[in-house]
Amino acid sequence: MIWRLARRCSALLAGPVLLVLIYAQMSAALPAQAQPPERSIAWLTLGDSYGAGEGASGATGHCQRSLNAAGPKAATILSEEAGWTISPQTFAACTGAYAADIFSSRSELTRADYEIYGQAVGAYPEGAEIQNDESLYDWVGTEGSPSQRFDVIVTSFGGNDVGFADVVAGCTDIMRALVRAGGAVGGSVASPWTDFVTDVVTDRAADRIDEEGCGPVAQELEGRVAELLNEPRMPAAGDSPRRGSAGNLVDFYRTVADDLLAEDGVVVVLGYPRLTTPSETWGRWRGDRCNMLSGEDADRLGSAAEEFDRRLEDAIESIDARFEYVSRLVIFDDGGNYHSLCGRGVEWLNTPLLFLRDGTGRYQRGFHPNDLGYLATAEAVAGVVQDRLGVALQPPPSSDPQPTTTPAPVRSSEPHFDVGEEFDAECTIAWPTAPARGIDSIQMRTFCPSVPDQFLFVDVVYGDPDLDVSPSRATMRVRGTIVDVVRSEYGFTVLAVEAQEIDLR
Amino acid sequence: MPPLPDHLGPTRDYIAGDGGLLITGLLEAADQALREGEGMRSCEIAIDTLDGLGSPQEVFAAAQGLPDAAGAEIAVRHASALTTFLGTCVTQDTVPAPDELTFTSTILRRRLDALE
Repeated sequence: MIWRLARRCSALLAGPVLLVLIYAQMSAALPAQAQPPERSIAWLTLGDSYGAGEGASGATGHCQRSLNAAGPKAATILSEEAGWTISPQTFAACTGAYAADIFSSRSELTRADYEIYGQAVGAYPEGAEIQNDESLYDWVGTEGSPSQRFDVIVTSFGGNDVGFADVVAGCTDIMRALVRAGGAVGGSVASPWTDFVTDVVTDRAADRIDEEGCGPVAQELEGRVAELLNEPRMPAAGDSPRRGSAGNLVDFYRTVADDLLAEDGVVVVLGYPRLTTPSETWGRWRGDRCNMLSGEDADRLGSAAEEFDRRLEDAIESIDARFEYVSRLVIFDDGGNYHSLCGRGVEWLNTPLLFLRDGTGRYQRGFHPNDLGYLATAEAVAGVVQDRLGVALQPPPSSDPQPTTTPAPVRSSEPHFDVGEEFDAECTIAWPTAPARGIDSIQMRTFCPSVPDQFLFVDVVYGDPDLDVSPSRATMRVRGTIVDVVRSEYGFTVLAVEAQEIDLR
Repeated sequence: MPPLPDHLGPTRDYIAGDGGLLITGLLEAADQALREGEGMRSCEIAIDTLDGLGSPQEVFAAAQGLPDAAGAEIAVRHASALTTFLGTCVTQDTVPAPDELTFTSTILRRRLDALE
């Protein structure tokens, strides 16, 4: 993607003039956008936590639905940036959803003692947006019109079915050492803590990784993905009347399309990103650790995520032409400009240690995308939908078969907080950190309320060492360019901004 | 800091009970480990304190079990930092840099104060 190339070039050179040139070329090189359809587009978002928007701002309730999730956000982008009319919109996604929830109610699942790898599937809590006697399919009807068919269905399922969260938890070095300590294998009985801390630091457990560590669990994921795609997800569904309910995930999706998709509509299936960037890209200061994961284990999980993505893509693309697969793994990898955890650039996932690491405060939403991650996914979804349903401005130049290309994302005009972008926000100096004044500039550590919480501070450099700031005069409008994204060794992230203009309040 | 839970009662009851003793014990052990001028002895004292508190599983479970989810995350993070600090001390015969443990101690102490 040209805009990605531009972003990386700008990260290296970071000159405003160069940026103007690059972005001017980028704009000229973008393909002409399709015209909006002449009719209103009915839109459905259906899925699990990655579909609901857990981890995004505005996520509420048991289901953690947020309008910043990829599905509704893509609809907003097409509406605001491309003039589409999208109505009605239905949002039937819920954190913790399994493939079996599509056609089975939680009451049915609990009656059948349905389990996911030893974990019983429980009832929804009191007050949840979805009732225990309704499936997600039923919920679509109650959220919208029961007979509604949709032009666009954006969906994601599978992460909970393969138990990815439990696998990750089992791969952290301290968790592993705790398990080992529970087994009381050898060592000093007199001081269990001496054994324990030694075990963690020397990662003795990792030496036996092929026996009890992350390795076999990550390998097991491959088998779980195969089951998800090939074996029935609801073995006891014989008493469920709905067709497709005894099938695998692919059968479920096919049935959803048969029952809910309008003629010429599209089902966009979202995959899952890798959670951490490849360990070879980590900063040395991390000491080969990322959120309590060792480099080796993170890479094992990364390989499992790649396998999950590849198999899911193959399965979805083999269904029929109504389906499109959007690989979040590819989006987050961004051509080697990684946005998963512990990369050097802007992270698009929340860490499991959120507020200690990046100041977001969304402590229960670790390992889920943040607003920027959902935004990037939404732009890709909008591009796919525009490619499928938009009215092309010009007919193809020839009838020869055209090479298959990934549709260009529809870029939102919202700030992306990436290097090279313009910056415009109201900020206040984060006293007691005092400004530093040099020969020809002033540096200020500031807090800017409109900047996403993952950036704990914005460090502003401005070419006026005599700028009249003080503890009583510390709020200002800052306009300039983002020149870097810096991560403290404590884990929080800081935007570095070169200010061209500052208006003191 | 993240917002406090809507209902503080369960968290306060927990802190006043056995779980709270284990969590405050983690802070005490960290203070001992960070005490300047005692070299490796400070780590030994901290480990003795932890052994007196309970097994690693019990202590981590107590941290994880704090009803305030944010507080639990902070407590687990502190327990992890303390573990790494002491592990480095024991295996490398050197007292590690105190930055991270000081940071997690401060944050956990602030959270417990806010929950009172």
